[in-house]
Amino acid sequence: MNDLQLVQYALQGDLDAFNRLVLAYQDMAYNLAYRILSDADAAEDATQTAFLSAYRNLHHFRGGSFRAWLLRVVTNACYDELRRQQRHPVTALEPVHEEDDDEIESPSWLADSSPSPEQQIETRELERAIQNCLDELPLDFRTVVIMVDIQGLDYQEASLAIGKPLGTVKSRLARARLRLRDCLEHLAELLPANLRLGLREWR
Amino acid sequence: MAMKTQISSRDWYLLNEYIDHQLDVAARTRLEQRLEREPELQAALESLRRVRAVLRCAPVHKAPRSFVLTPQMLPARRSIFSWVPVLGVTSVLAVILLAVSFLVQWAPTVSAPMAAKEVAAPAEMAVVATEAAEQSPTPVIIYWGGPPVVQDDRGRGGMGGVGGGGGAPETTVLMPTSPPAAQKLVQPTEAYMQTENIQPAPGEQMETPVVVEEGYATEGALLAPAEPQLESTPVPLIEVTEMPLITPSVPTPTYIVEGGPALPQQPAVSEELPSEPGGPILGISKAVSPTFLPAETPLPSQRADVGERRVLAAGLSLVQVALAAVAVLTGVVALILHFSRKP
Repeated sequence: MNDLQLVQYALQGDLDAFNRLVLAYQDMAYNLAYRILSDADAAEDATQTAFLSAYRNLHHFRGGSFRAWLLRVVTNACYDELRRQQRHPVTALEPVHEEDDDEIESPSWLADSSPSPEQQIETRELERAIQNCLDELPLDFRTVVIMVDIQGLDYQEASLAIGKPLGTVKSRLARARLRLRDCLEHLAELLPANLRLGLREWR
Repeated sequence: MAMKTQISSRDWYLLNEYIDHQLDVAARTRLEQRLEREPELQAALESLRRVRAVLRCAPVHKAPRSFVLTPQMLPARRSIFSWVPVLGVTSVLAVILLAVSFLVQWAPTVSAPMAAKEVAAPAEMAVVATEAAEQSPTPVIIYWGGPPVVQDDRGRGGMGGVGGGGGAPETTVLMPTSPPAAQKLVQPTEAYMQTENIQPAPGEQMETPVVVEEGYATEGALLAPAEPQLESTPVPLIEVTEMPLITPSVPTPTYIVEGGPALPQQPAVSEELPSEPGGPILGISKAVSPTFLPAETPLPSQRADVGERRVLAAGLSLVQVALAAVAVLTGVVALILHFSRKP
């Protein structure tokens, strides 16, 4: 059963049909929320809010790519969360020490089925480097590059997901990649060796 | 120290579209030819490819838990039956407003007849006078401001407010200020006759007295007493001919009492109404001649008011129709929902 059929059943009141869509796209939705918000808890709240909003507004889905439509809902939920954080800034009570054993239960560890310690370290460092550079991007640029280069959407889907014209998507993506190139150049030591080598050549 | 590749923004955009397969065949061919000729462009393309590779190597954060929805999470859908009270209240309100609109519409009509009666009263006076003049076998005297004054050739009149016009017929007529009441026969007093030096003509039959309206305020000595004073002495009367009906454009008509001999040296009264350029007519100045308008001709201001009232009435009718429709529809729907709801 494809996405459009599940949407039709969900519109008729079949909650199970909608939950099948949730299970299919929740990882992608959470990953997008995490990359935008750079915070696991905030990303979790935003993802749950996004799915609730998607169910309530399912009648607004006019067909086409359900993935792009859902990512738009997630993006809007993340923007709302960022605005809420700007109005009410939150300070963590306890600092998070990544060297602690609790780190074993973090989502980044769960992403790898059986990583070696070296791989785990590299993955962690890459994650930190990428997220740091993404955090330095303006929100609009960050969203586009996450959708295209991390989530794997094409230009058309990204245009639908952010609700902007195709030319805007191309422009923002090119400018975001240019800034990332300059940012990653400074963090070359944190990158994996194979990628670090390539960046050194391009310096 | 390695040199950074510096290319234009336009070329950087082209490279981005090139690696994302967004260029058409012609543009891709031209770019590839340039890539072979320009090493800086080639270097920029390589750097762009690595940035994209780094991003694609970023770990995917899986959902920490299941985000499936439960019925408890979903907001309770408003049942259609929850609209029953709202529809009922709406229906009642519409009925109340409809009743108020009817009250507003009918309220002015209650006071209208009273005003209409007042307006009709002066018109009735003229109608009565006209009808009386037409039906009565004997001519009717209409007094405009006072009873007719019998003047001598010296032009003296005994009635206040009535000026004598030089050379004009010397019979003055005055209009009573109140609706006609019971008529009384009043004989002019001897004192008045002596004062005015009025002598009956020889052989004159003074039998027909002057007909006066009761309650009529006079200034002269000819009439006045509230009680009729029937004296044996007849009074000389002036021959009168019936005058045409009064119209608004016509100046004050002249009525002459019929039945008596004309006073000496009194010119015959013409039946034609004199035109009205400036001077008083038959001894009646313009100032005292009342304006007589038939009741059917409205003034321009009255016509405007009537038009405005019609527009308001039409608007009010539309509002009433709308309120009635709302009241009926919402009431019917509320009743249907109420009785169709399962216990």
